[in-house]
Amino acid sequence: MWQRLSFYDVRIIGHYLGVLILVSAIGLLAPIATAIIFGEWQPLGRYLLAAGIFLIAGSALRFLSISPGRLSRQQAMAVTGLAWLALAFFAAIPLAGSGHYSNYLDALFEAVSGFTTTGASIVRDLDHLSYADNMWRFMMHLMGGLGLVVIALSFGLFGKGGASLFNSEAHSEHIVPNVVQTTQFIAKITLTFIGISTVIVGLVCLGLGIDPARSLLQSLWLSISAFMTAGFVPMSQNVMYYHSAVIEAVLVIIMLLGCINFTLHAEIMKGRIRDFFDDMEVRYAALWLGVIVIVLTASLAGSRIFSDLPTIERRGLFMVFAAFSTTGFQNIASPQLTDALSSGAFLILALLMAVGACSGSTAGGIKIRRFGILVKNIVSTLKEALSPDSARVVTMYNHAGKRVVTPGLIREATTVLLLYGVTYIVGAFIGIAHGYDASQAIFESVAMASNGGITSGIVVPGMPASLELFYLFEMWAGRLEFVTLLALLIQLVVSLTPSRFLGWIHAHNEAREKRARR
Amino acid sequence: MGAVGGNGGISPRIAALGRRAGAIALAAALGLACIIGIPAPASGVPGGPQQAFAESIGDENLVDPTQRADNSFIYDTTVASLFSQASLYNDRTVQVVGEVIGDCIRAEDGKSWITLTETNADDKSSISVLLSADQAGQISHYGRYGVEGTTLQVRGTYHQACDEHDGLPDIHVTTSSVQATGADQPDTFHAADLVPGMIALIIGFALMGAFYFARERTR
Repeated sequence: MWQRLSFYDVRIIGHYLGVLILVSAIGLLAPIATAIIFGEWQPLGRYLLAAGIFLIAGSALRFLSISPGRLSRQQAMAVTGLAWLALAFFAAIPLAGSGHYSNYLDALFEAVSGFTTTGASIVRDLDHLSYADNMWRFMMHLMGGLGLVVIALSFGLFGKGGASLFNSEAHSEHIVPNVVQTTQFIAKITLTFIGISTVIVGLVCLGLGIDPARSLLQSLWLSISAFMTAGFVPMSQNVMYYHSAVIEAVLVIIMLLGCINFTLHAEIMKGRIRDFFDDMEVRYAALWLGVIVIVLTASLAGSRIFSDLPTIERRGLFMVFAAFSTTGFQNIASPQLTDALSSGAFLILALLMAVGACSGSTAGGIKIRRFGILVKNIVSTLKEALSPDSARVVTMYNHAGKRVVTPGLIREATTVLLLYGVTYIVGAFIGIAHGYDASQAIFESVAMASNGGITSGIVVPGMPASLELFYLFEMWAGRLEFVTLLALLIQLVVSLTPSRFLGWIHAHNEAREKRARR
Repeated sequence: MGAVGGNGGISPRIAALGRRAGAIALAAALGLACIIGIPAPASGVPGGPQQAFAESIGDENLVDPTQRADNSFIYDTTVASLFSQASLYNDRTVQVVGEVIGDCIRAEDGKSWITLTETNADDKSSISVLLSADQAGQISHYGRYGVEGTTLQVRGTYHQACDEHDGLPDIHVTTSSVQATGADQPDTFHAADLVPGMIALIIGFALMGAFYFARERTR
């Protein structure tokens, strides 16, 4: 029997949703400060209004329960699922007023893409967007990449209910037993890498002749986008704008660091380098990348345009890492993806995004760990088939020490794999139904649900609203890895269904059980 | 029913006379057309790119001597078309007009990279343009928020995927000219614009304070 939300549940969920909205208002300080520093008075007005709306909505929701109790697991899932959508609705308000979006839906798409770190953008005339608006776009990446719950928990909010919230936001494990310390560790690692990358990319930008203020801003934004494996860029020419192999190399390193499990970052910091190289996910990822690089190189070598070695090395490899990490940076123009790349290379990029990188990182996609678990399960099944009946086969895998492949892990991996697969296919069908080329429709659907964000040209200003809404759903579902979102949707449907109907279903089920018992 | 012969019963002699009269009439019509100057049908693909041939003879001759003989036309096109019909323009001399945006980025051999964006409001396609330091010196405004960039017309070779620059789509410029210098359009401060935000903030902080008091009273 599905569990319905009581009025008490709604009050608790509303209260904690309010807390998350209030915490997210801190992110608005960055565009407000940027607008003041650069004298962007029109954006300043918009961001002050947005901050006010965040405070009003957040505080009003907290009034639903003055002294809330501890969050249950079901309530935590509802809070997390709703928070990602509610914040996007509020975050889109200042963007919609910028004049760079055709309508509010486009601004909402941008906000969802920002928070879910998808990085697909439908902004018009990006090159004339204000620094304040850009700063907000990248703050959304930062908050979304870290996780809204992680940010709130790192400030010590939520108390004992924090662990449920943490798990409901697609975080797989606690790096240290205390959930608050875990979130603080994640925040410290993130800020460290973004800081280092900002300095390096900023110096290169200065060397390229970009003025100091723009060098600082652009390097900060690119670094946030790279480590959060997100994909927004400040210039319409994407990474190609900088004409710098050094910047591209630095971004590849930061993207790869971003798609490593935070637990492994902790192991490395503790000096346990061996644990990193023994990790099942790292080994499978290296193998996967190796195979893909060989296949892609062979495919590009036979193509009409991108066939010489320096081009393959620079464009091909960068795109491999951008797709694998689900960052979505491009150093190939969107038309080149379909015109100049071979169809094989094009689909390889889609496959890379679909699979994604490591679990417990900022990357999207199905995740290598789930494939690893399923491979282990196949091996285990074969071992069982070849063993005596009395033998008990136990399959182990390496992740910060030896761990057992449990039926629960296999079930979770299979469920999520299927849900991603079905979403990719449904999204592709919807794209095809809108009249787009099949390969482009598949590519774009995968890019949205995996939060990869590389676009082949369907996601543009003026795209059909129905397709835009489905892509929006795909991004939201993919970021929360489906379970939290589906649980929320089921809770909402069940709670809003008339009780007489539910009572009828309950009575029907009871009667059937009685018949079965007889 | 039997088959009816050739001209339906007209004798061969009369038919031959008729053909001769028709040929004479056609020749007369063509001659008249030449005299009064009816233009011949245009060659080329309808709706295709316009080929800008030499605008004048002599020093202004626009035939590019570095291009192959069959490839020396200058295609007057748009930035968006360079991407939508990339293979058509690949390795050909093109002429595009666009707004210079972003920054001037140092390139090899004292050259510079700029980004030229489509001036059409609906399609803001942009392309990398490689030009000399002198040509870059013509640019007074780089477009960004609050700045309308210089509108530049560039003429050079378009590469769908440039061999020299690892597959980048770009234009190597030979000549450029400024069409419009651009302008600074800074935001002007209007206190009234900030009023809605300030009111919302005051209400928000008041609600936060009210919640704090309500919670303290329940303890």
